[in-house]
Amino acid sequence: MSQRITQLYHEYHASLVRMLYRRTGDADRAEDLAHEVFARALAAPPENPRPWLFAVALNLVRDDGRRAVRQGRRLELLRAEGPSSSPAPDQELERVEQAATVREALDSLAPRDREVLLLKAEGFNYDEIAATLGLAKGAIGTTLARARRRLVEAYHAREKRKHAAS
Amino acid sequence: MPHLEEGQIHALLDGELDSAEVREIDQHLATCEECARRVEEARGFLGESDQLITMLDLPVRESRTGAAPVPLVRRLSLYRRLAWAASIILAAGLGYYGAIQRRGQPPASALEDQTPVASVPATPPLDRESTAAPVAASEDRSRQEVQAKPPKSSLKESRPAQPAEPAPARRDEPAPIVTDTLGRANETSMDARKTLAPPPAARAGAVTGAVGAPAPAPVTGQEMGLRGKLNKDEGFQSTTMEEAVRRLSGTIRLIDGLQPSRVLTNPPVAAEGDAAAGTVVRVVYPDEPGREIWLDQQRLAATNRLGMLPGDTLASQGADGVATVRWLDPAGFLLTLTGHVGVDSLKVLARNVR
Repeated sequence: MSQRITQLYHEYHASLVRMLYRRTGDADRAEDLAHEVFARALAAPPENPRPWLFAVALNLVRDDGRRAVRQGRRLELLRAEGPSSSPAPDQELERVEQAATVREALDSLAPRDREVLLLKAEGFNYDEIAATLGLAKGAIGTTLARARRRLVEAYHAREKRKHAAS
Repeated sequence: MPHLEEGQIHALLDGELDSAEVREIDQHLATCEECARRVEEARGFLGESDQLITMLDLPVRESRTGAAPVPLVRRLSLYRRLAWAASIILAAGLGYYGAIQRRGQPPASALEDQTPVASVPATPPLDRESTAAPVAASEDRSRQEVQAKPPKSSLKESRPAQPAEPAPARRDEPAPIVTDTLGRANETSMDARKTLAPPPAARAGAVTGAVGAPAPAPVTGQEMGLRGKLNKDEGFQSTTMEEAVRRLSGTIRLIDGLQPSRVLTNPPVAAEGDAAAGTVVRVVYPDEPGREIWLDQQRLAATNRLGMLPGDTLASQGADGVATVRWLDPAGFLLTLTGHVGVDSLKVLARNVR
């Protein structure tokens, strides 16, 4: 059993952490949540691991998010801290600001739209997305279309507001 | 054929349609300008949204050695991956171990390679600061700086007050990690880490308990991190990184960019319902010869976090030059950095704890 879990870990850990980081913006949280996902997989090995791992991860993010709301400003401040402690020259600052704008845009989406986007970005096909989120396969294309359009529009709207304010 | 639906267009662009459907759509697009325009529009949304998503990724840092850049998240997770694999092996092979741990009785195998501790008092000698904690943590806060997030002050601003003539290094206490290098203006945390770089001989693979290395005073449970002094070697036991990870339930925090010289842990402590909550792990980093920086870590139960919330940071600087920075991370780990340095220098290091 442990060999199988280890194999799953090598196969999916990087992808899982990347998706979790994209979702949370916090490298430590992403790592910890991924660890929790694999701990649960160890306790109850999944039949269909990829959708299972990502579904559990997204559920944990949702639970984590609810806790963050309860804990209020402190977690917000942590998120603002950013994952990198590297020097912040102009380019780095710009990158961080752009990433923050993208994150705002992503956060403005409906949870389902956001999750579909993140799973697609991890290379999931429609069948896998449907299995992970419990949706009908036929609904994935429409959901993705809406999510992509809304993400782009939300991003540009925020960029426009930012430039207008500056 | 009717006009294409938006979902159909995206399925087409995502390669989700079979060849018959693609053929049919191609024929339609050849005659329908409206649908062809919508396909191009969808292609634009698809490409741009993919690009936006990747903008959320951690930046790639240039290696100081000129090696290929490695995504930060991958680099940070490397040790955790190894640690996790080790925990799996331990979990599979030593299933009985956890039950024994919960009773606070370490199996003999766990101690085989540990250095015997000459004197481990039943009650650790607590200094004035440690006796105040944890239940009176709020009292400590009156003497400590309370911040809502890990420090971001620049090193120039935060240059610790250094004596005009540095005290000679003592083997049993850490020394300033930040010397004249940190004293220069415009240094960054990366520079600080460079200053702190261990000798080339120090390698992660060699992280094991070092016989004869100074072991810190025993710190149990919530007392961890509340000490303001670096006392004599007592209480902690040398251990391996793998064992430390196991005792912390499969994860460990390390200072990014630094190589630990050794790892210590307290003797197994019986804790209600959660063995890991009683475990304190100390990762020791070398500084100048004979001097060290300690990173203590302990996972606190959700119901007993000393009144701290993730993001709270407590910092103190003792009159003897020993500074402590303590914070609770989002996963509930109480982390404490201790060293014979300026408190703001420790804050810089704290920002690099992953």
